Amino acid sequence: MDFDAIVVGSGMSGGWAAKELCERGLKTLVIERGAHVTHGEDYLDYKEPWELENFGKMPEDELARDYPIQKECYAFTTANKRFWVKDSDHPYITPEGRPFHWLRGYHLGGRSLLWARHSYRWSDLDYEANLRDGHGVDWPVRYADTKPWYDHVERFAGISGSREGIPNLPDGEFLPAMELNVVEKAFKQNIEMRFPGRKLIMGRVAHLTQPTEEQDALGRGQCQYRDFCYRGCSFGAYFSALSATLPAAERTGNLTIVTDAIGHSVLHDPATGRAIGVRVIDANTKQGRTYTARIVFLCASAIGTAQILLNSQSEHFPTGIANRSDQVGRNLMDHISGIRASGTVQGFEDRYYAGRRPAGFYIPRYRNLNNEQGGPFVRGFGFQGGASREDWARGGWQPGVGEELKTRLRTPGKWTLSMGGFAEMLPRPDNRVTLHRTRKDKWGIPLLVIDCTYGDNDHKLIAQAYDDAEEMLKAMGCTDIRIGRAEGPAGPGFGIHEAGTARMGRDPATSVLNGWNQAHDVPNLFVTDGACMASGACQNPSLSYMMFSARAANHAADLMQQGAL
Amino acid sequence: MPDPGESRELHRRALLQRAIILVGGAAALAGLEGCDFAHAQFFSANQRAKLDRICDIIIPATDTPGALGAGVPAFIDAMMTHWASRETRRRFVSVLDEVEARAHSVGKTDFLALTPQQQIDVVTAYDRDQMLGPGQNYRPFKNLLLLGYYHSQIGATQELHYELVPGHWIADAPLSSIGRTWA
Repeated sequence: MDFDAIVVGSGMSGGWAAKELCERGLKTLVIERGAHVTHGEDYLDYKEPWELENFGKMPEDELARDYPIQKECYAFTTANKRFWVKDSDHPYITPEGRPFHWLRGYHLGGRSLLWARHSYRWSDLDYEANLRDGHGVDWPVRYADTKPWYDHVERFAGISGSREGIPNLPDGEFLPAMELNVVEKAFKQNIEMRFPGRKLIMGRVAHLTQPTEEQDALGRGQCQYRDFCYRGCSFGAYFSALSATLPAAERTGNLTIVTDAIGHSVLHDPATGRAIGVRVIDANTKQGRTYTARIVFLCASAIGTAQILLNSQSEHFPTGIANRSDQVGRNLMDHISGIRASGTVQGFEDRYYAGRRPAGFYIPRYRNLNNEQGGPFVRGFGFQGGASREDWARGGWQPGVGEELKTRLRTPGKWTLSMGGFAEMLPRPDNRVTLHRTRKDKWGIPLLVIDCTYGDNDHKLIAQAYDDAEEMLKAMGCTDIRIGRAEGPAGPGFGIHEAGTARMGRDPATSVLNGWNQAHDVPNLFVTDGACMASGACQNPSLSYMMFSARAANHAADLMQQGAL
Repeated sequence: MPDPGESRELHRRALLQRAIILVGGAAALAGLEGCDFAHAQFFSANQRAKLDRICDIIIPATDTPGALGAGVPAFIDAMMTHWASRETRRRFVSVLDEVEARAHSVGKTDFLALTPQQQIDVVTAYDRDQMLGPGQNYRPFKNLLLLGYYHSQIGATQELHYELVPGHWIADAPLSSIGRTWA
């Protein structure tokens, strides 16, 4: 055996698996398909606006040629170009008329460098949802199983937030919350008075508002309110695999990282029924090689992990390893995002703010809190948003030139409230990824076919979210209210919360993983990224991926200690 | 045992130190980029003269430097080479042509041959028509002009306010204590 454990993927989930396994004394190999990134050194977060290449604007022809999908992401600028895949190098197939926007980066740290950092616990409203309304399969865990591990990951990662006592959005181990601005506070007051049961809170975000000793020891510093997070943060003030988990893994002396190594398949020994290692393709030389270990963790993102599982074919597993249930690749979910609404707020013209808070407010789910049946839809949605004063950019859509324009833009404009709904998408077996029969990428790996659409319930949630946003903005007395109904929400993929393609469940016949993220069919194979999710809830998922990764890694270490693995 | 607060402060200072070094490096690079801007030549001499005048009219020098002082025409010229697609370049050239056409229709002469006040009148009327109408060519032009000005060092730090590393979030402050829009 080359290693005790192999972790495929170095992002949100892989970093956590590596940290926990290393800290339990296991010699761990992390396999990353993309290039090495050095924390700090490789970030452009110290550039002034006027120092950025093209002031941040990506060349239009290059976007059209190499990034037709990635270019649609709000966070893509010349300041972080290296953190996005070239679509031209990493194609996949979608059926005619059913686009899926797979937004991603292949590099050490993965999308933990680019995430929006909102971090919310799930509750039993979420873990019991499938059982109650019959969509998907019952989760094999409940909140009580996950709570200690949410505590564990929050303490280490550093989540700033306020304790609110909201049953369906449990409080956690929080650093001090960032503060809402005056208009957000007024909106909060208005919503909570006019719509009993609804709450507006400061977003719970993975930023160090007051670092702990443990975070300090890792070289992480306090948030400087620059809002340059998407460039990478040299202060290590937001949680990423590069600022936090991988350095923690590294200091144990048990970590080995290989980059430019593309996960091809998991190798299986039919005699023992165990995974024996991982085959990788060198991204540069295109040569294959194999690493062996006692346990394997797949943390390659929901779609990437499904691709590896499906591609791990043998006589024993002709449709892919751990896929006796035929559920690998199915039940692909995202969050329905881009449900936009905004309005202009009257007054507060003598108030402003200083610093660039890298986060906004959150309105947690308030519908169907009892999982009641017989309503127009099941599940629910939440909103993220913020209030700000219009800046100089408003000059770009208002008439005016000369001294008048300059003088006008010198003073901030009206207060604007903008919010976006995040709705839960039901797990449906037909939303799935498969391997194309013949077409392969340049490393010889079968291309993915991604087929994913919103369903009937999803559309009902979208309609309700628009209505609710509109009534909340109206109640606030907003003018110039804009509701994005006509253009509709962002399509599947834009939530960048892919999940569900190797779901957990109680029954090996209908699920891929058990309650410990362990493959029913292969006991030393674990999947802890978004693939494991049996439903999607409407909260941002990263905190749960962290939690499941840490929990599963410790369970695997326990099993190894007991001699069971 | 060192006081954790003290070690945090030392750490913060180390990070800021590093920030300053990196900013210095970036500024050196920016200087080189400035040279590129100066040498890039997308627009003809006549187009560039019109561009200069239009930028100057839209963001004039007042108690702070305007678009010319901030190097906005050179920025737009460089962006035509380094950023714009063929379609975007066509739109930007069309803006110059449309302003020219308006000059001919109202003043019966070239835009550059008009008096300064006539030029201001032409651009003001053109801006109003375009911003109240579809403005397919002019809107991206005006947006890039404003970006080039307000994200230049002069625009961000002399005309408006900008802090690279605020170090704080003040959620509520009297506007009078800040005074100007954040860039």
